[in-house]
Amino acid sequence: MSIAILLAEPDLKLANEIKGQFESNSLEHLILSDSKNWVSEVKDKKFSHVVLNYELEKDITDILLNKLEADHGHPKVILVISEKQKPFVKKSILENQNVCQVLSFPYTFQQVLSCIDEKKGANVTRFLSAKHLTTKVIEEIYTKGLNEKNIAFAQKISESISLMVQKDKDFHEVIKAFDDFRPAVYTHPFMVCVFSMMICKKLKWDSPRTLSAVAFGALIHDIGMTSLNEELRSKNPSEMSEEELKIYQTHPSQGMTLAGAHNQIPSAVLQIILQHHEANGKGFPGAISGAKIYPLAKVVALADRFARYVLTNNLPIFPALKKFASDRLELLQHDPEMVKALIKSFIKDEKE
Amino acid sequence: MKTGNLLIVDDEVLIQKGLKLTLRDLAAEIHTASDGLEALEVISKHTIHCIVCDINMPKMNGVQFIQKLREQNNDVPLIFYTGHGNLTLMREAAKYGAFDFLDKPNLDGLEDVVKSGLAKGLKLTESPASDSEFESEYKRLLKSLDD
Repeated sequence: MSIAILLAEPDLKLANEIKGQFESNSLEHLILSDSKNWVSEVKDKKFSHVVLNYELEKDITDILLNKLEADHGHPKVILVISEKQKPFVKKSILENQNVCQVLSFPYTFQQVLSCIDEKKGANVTRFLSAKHLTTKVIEEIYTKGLNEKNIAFAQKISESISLMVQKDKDFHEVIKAFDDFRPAVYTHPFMVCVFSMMICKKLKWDSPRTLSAVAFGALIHDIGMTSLNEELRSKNPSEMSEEELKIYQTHPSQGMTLAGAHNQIPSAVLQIILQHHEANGKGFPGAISGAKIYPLAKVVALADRFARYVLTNNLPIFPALKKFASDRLELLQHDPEMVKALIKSFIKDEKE
Repeated sequence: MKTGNLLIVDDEVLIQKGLKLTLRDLAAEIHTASDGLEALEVISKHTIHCIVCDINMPKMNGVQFIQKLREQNNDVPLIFYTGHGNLTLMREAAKYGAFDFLDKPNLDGLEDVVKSGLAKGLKLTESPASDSEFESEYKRLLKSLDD
């Protein structure tokens, strides 16, 4: 039986949150917020999984469990119980043969997904863990500056991100499950790194040294922003005065100076930092175009533009990608083969 | 498989020899030069598909060399293999379209980069895919996003 989930959850806020994630993941589902409508809502329906909050109707939970087995396709049940209730839940309920997992309230979509699809759940968890670690190290680099320790850590994280994208043939599904693309200062580098790795994968740039340079370059591409004052850092370039824009446009060069003081950081990464805003003659600092732009910098430039496009257009990832891919003015600034690779990285490969 | 012709430009003969040995299985021919001027002469006499070049050299350094190449409309992939440190020269190098940058004395990844460089250099001699082929593939991709 394909996946069809019944979420029996009286907490409306949590139910709506998880419903949104089900929809993003194209998971067939039905939401029930109280048991009064049980009979009419679930009549004749079969489910592969049921997430059942004990709070829904604690006195008849065992009756509901039996009904699920008898009338609704013998689904696997994920039982949700709060810490307070645990001592009072009947043993027969906890030991019901259809209960495959007991979660504590409140729970997350990722926990539900892990119970339903172990592999998918593990991939999403790995993604979120990488995001968390990246955010921490970027925050340290931006607030305390580059040092031997945080450079080494950032390099390690960038290699993990690269591996994560390379190894998972359905990585675009992980991106779909994660629809929070509001890139704050410290999460934007993570998304640029992820998108850069997805582009490299489709270009079949798989040499460890290239992937390492692109991933690390993507993580610290905006290090030059730390040389700007706080006010300018948080301003959108479209809102800057001419004077402010001139200062803002020095950040790639400033970044190369900051990073260039550390021998640990390879020349390839320095060039990515310097050139990440070059855009076929319309960028800075050099306004260079085509073959003059360092190929690895072109990848990070495209990933950076796309990540910002998602934010400024305030759209979920797929609609943002469709809009970006149809925006002629935007496309003229990038290598067409790389734009194709970006699009392909969000589509399931028929050959795979 | 050996494809394409490689040029190694470095004022240190030991490095020329070392790189020639390391990369001997990748290129059909490997030429060497000790500075940018000598390299330009080699290029005038032989078809070269990829260059591995130091930056700091006498007579004509790596940046002056790539600048000259590009002025001659020669887009041959050029890989800078150089010591870390001279940011001024690195900034200059950025203007002329280097294919890649590798730091001495590390040889990690050099073979992969040279392989890619040779492939790119050989592709430059082929006729490019037509605009209409690209457009129709692009339209197909956009449609896949709708599906």
